[in-house]
Amino acid sequence: MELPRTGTSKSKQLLLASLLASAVAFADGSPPAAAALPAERLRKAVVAVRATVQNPNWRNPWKKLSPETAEFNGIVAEGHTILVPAMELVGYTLIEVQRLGEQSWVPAKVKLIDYDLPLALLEVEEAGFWNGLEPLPLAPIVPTAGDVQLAMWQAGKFELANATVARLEVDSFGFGRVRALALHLATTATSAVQGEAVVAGGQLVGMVSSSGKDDLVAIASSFLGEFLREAAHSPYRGFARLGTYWQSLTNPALRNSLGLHPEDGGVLMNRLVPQGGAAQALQPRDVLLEVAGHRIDASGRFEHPKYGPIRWSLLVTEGKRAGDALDMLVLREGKRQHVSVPLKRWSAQEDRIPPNMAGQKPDFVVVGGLVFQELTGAYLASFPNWRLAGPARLVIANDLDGEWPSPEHPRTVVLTVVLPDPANLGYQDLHDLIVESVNGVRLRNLADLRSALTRPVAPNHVVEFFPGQGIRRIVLDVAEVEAAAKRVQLD
Amino acid sequence: MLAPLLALLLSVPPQAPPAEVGDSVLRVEVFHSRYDWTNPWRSVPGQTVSGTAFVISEGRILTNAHVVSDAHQITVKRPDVAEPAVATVEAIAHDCDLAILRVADKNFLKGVRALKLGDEVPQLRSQVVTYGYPEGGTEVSNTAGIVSRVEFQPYVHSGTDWHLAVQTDAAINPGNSGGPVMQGGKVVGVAFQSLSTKQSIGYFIPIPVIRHFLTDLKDGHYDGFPDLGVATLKMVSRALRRERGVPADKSGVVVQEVAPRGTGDGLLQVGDVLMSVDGVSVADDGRIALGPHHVAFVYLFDQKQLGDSLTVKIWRAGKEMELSGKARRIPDNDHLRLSYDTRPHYLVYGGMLFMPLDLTLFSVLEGSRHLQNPQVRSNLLWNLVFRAKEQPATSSREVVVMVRIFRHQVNSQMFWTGPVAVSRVNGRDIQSLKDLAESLSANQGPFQTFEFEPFSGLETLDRAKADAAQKEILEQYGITSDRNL
Repeated sequence: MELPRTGTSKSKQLLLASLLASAVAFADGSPPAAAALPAERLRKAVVAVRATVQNPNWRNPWKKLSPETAEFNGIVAEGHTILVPAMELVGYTLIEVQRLGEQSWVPAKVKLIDYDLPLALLEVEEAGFWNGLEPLPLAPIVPTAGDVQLAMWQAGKFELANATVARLEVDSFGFGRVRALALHLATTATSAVQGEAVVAGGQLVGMVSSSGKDDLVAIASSFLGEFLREAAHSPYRGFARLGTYWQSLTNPALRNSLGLHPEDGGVLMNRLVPQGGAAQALQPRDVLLEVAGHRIDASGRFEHPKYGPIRWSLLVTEGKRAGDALDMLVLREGKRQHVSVPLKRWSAQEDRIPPNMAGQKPDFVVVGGLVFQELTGAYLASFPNWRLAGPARLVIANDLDGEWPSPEHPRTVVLTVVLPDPANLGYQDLHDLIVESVNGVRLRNLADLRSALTRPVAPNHVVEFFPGQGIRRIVLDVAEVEAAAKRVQLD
Repeated sequence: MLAPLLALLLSVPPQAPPAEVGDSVLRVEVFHSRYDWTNPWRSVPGQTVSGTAFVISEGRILTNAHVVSDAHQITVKRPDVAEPAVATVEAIAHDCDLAILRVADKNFLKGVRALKLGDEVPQLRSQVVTYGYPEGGTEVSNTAGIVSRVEFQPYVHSGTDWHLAVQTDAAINPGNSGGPVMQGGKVVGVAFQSLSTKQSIGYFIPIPVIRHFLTDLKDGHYDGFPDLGVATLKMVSRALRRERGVPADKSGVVVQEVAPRGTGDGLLQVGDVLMSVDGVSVADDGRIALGPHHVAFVYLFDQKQLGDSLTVKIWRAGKEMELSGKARRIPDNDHLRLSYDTRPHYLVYGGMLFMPLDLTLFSVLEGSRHLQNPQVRSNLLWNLVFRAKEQPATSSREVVVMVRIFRHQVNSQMFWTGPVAVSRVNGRDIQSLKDLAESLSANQGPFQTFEFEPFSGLETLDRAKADAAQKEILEQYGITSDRNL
């Protein structure tokens, strides 16, 4: 059935404000003044990386997916280490590196991995490996415009490609959630995938994080430097994410109603994710006027001394570490006040529905063939086209509750599938149902489920589901469940 | 996907109609146009489609609702007469995809033999013949097929309703919609939809559903099918049967959820075992015998007219009970049906377009890629489908969506441009579009303030400026009226 199409021509910019980034190139746009380096020098600064990974099959979490191997690049860093994006390292079984286009692949070890960024440092034990490799100096200032070079290894051959800096933005990278400075590069045909060096004026200005059809996103050298310095710090503190949902205050009527002066900038805090640092010091409906002494304009930018107007969230990671605090000036209930916002490192695992499970093993409970899991983004992503075609109520839970754990609901327990067995006849069609309680115990997580199963409502286990899913209550025979445990094979 | 079977106009030369149906199978041509759900004061450009109809009795012409929905002009043409006649809709039932047409010209049907409706659902594997004007042809064509399944099926026209339907491998193509399906000289159904992914799977509306429609109409008004509003689980699990204490010689299904205000509300409770309806027993797999067929027990409730009495036998608290109830329709479910033949409800204020959330609006926004933000999409879908089930106390809330903005100086700097659900206006929880309109007009303060789900977004209009701009915005954008509440 064809429904009338609407009259408007393009999709609305209804985006989560904190995901927007619209910083524009500013300043004079020229790269740092220094002589360009010959290819001979650049090839010593980049190595090929080959990672073999094997990840869980989140639909059948006792199984693993077929192993996969990806090749990308890494950047030679100080102290005999290699800096790589960590996107392709999730579930690694073997990481190897190849220098100077030589034939052999040499095993590498992970020295440090931070999936929140996601970046990793590799080390290689083989002493001779480092002979002839030489890190590039990190550019302290990233160019806001102009030409750059991409240096990479591709199937044993060294390649140089040209690109142009289109703009600087504040982004998160891959599945990472920490925001940092990003170079958006315009380029034609290049085989860059990720980990390639972005070079200008003889210095490293970034590392490619993702590649699209005509554009590349690179993590700026300024942040790579922050990571490398932090990697040398013991203990590793990492970087923070505030956990704010905010909107711009460009609407003059809204500004008036909030008592803002025309000369004030400011953005409006709408929701604060409880596990983030912002929730400890800010309040919903605070107007954020200044961060670390920088005035925030009505669309959420501050005047960066090097780059010009750019998204304020850069101030959370530039020169800052988890454990630090950030001074903010807010307008709260008509009064201006300074608050100190703790910068907290906060992993995906603290969410009610963890968006990614990098570095995590699946946890599950099988009872009489009924498979229970805590809902994760990894599970949802196992459905093709999951946003539109995945289990609807679970997708909604992910979008509306995923970031909002509470003492009653630190996690969402789901009956994902039923493995057919005589013990579960009558229930074999059930799948993807949010569980409310088992044996009268309201479930906060799988640990609650495990303990509830030790106290059946004899002679049954009683499973109750969250309302509105078409099924509320089923029972399983405890003796049959025990017999099923011997029959149900998790192979 | 099930697709209704309209055909765009084509033409083919004449030949004699088949004897079984004579001249009673008519070609229907409809010029129709829907309201534009993102510019709801106006229609989208119309188009002409064709379908099939047939004469049943007393000058009544039966066809599908989807053939004549949103019609501006309907003409019907006899296969043996060159001139078409203008027809009007006498009754239309979107929930079961049937409609009755009338032709004012008394001579039009002269000499046409009305087709007789049969009494039963045809046997599995028996042959049926479909008549109609597939692909818009001018000749009645017929194709034979075998009855392959008799089941409850979704009726795609409303987007929500399920009734009994018969599956056949007779070719049912666009243009067949509304055509009679014949067996032994009698009508056994009305062709109405097919599986668009499979060439040879078509569906027709069987006699019990047609008769329900005709009976409903006897008082001159169509009331619609009742809603049981009950979710059940087959009683296959031995543990479940034991836990419910149901003796081995009893059968039925276990009630899981009961929606407010449906037939089941006040009659059935979660945990009840529904054993029989009006003396017809429900098997453990939820099926009942219908002649030679086994169909979902819901059929027994579906066959009731609103207000009809019914009796159920249930097993509750260790004993058998007989209870009586009445068939009811859940009014709150109407927002889950696609809208036809109605002007959308809306309000334009300060250039913001507000509309109540219903299946039509959601489908239009989704189809036009206006729901790119996953959290907004999930919020609207939750409000549409799940909220009333999870929070029955809120089931009467009509969610209002700020659909879009018509840009004007008073709103052009807004951050929120829609679509997004409105939670509060001027500090008041919004329960309906009327509520929103009242909250705006009652406000004497300097600002009109809007709060949005799911991000707690906030926008404000300067009330004096917005009031002053209203006329200009309506004129600039050709908005003929600022509201249809």
